[in-house]
Amino acid sequence: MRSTRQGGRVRSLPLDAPAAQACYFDDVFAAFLNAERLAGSIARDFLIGGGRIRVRFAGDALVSLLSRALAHLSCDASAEPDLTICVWDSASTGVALPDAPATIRQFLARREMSGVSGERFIAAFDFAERMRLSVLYRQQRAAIHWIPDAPSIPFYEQAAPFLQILHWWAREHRHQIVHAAAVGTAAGGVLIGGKSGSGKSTTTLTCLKAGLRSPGDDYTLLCVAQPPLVRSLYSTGKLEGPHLLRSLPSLMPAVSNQDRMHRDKAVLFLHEHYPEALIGEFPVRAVVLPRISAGGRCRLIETSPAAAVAAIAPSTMIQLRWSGSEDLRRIAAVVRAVPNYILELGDDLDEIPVLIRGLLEKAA
Amino acid sequence: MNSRRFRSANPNLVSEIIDGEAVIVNLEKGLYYSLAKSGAEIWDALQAGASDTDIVDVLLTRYSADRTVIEAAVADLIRQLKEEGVIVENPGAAPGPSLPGAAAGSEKLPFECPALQKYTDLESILMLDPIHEVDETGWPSAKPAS
Repeated sequence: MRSTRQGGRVRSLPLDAPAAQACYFDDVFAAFLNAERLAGSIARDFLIGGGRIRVRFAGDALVSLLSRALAHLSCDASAEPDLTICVWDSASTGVALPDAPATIRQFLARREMSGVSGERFIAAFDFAERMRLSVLYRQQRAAIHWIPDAPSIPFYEQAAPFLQILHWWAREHRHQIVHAAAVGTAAGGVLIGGKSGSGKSTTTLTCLKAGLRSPGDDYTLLCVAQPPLVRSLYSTGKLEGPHLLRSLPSLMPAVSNQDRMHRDKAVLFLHEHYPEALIGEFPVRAVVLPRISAGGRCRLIETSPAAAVAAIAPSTMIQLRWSGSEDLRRIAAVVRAVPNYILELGDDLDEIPVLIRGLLEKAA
Repeated sequence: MNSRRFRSANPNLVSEIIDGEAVIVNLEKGLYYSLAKSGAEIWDALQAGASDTDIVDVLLTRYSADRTVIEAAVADLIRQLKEEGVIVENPGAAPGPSLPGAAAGSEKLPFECPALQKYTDLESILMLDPIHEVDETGWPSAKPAS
């Protein structure tokens, strides 16, 4: 593998930016292959958004941590994948992330690697809590995800693994990841938008208890079609711990991180405890924006498509690197195609599924 | 009123008009805004490269209000958008395409001053992702606990 250091200092390559990127990301890929050779290869296949995604792990340190939220979409390895995500960590494999030339060690405001969103590569370097690198090799149908060590994977990454890579891949295949839940039946359902704490998960989980089904509670995949579809991505649900204890105590046994609920949200892997509650996809019949109200009855109030876009698009896009105008347009296109409602959450949560079922009957 | 044109202040600003309402997102700061009715029309025209005086002229064909009222409203919204870092003046800009006025014979609408709604509830998401120090290899690394 080509050295990127001279005399212990990072070199500054006198190359133009695309050439430096290509050299560097070749080095990163070679480092993964080295890690895989040393630690062994473990592959898992998943069907996501109509595509086959293969995740190749170097060693077993990350397998359960980063495949649990996708387990409900697992499939056999009988066909060639549409995308292969190669994953390694330095601690368990002993293979470091190559140092980068100065030309790409510049970051934009949202941790995108400056200039690395072109025909060949899309990359971002996240460094919330601990750093990690995601790169999509667009022409090779391959991606790299690197992290320093397994313990540094935060709970929200276990709940939504490979989020950036899947976002970049999905939007090239008529899909858009959204920070939104959904509930309904095979005939159709509602997309549930809103910021953290708005009642999104409460609405979803209450509906699941009442027999409706969900393709996801946190992030889902929108397919811009006629009618628009919402498809399953992760099987996770996330709730504030105190809220869960108060409103939905029967879900407590399904919480995967009970020992950390004092600092993190409660994470539920729905397929492990409520496999019948998950559904692969359904047509979107309406958008619902929960809003916690001061008592009274639950009720639906019609609202504008702009209000729905404002509830879904910014929180989606801020969390997805290299998102921009196209993402906003795709979300707006789906929202425009259906009616939009505010769902005021009153005292009796059992009214929520009744209202959602009524809405779906009206839209059918 | 001197004619001025504007442009988006930042590549991290994206916007969309949805059924007559504008949603503007500042992805860098975690802020977003909405503008309805005349506010969305003004935003759309600013994005198209129209000058402030062009915008006033078009609004006068659509709304029943004095020129001074509309001039003040347009100037006030532009001031707010500049203060928020959403737009900057673009003195060298070529004139944009002509703005469509109201259809001949159509009744003028009552004018409401545009209100820029600002939403800050997503700022905390970015604050969870603090800028860390860069180590000797050039990669960011977590700041040591103080």
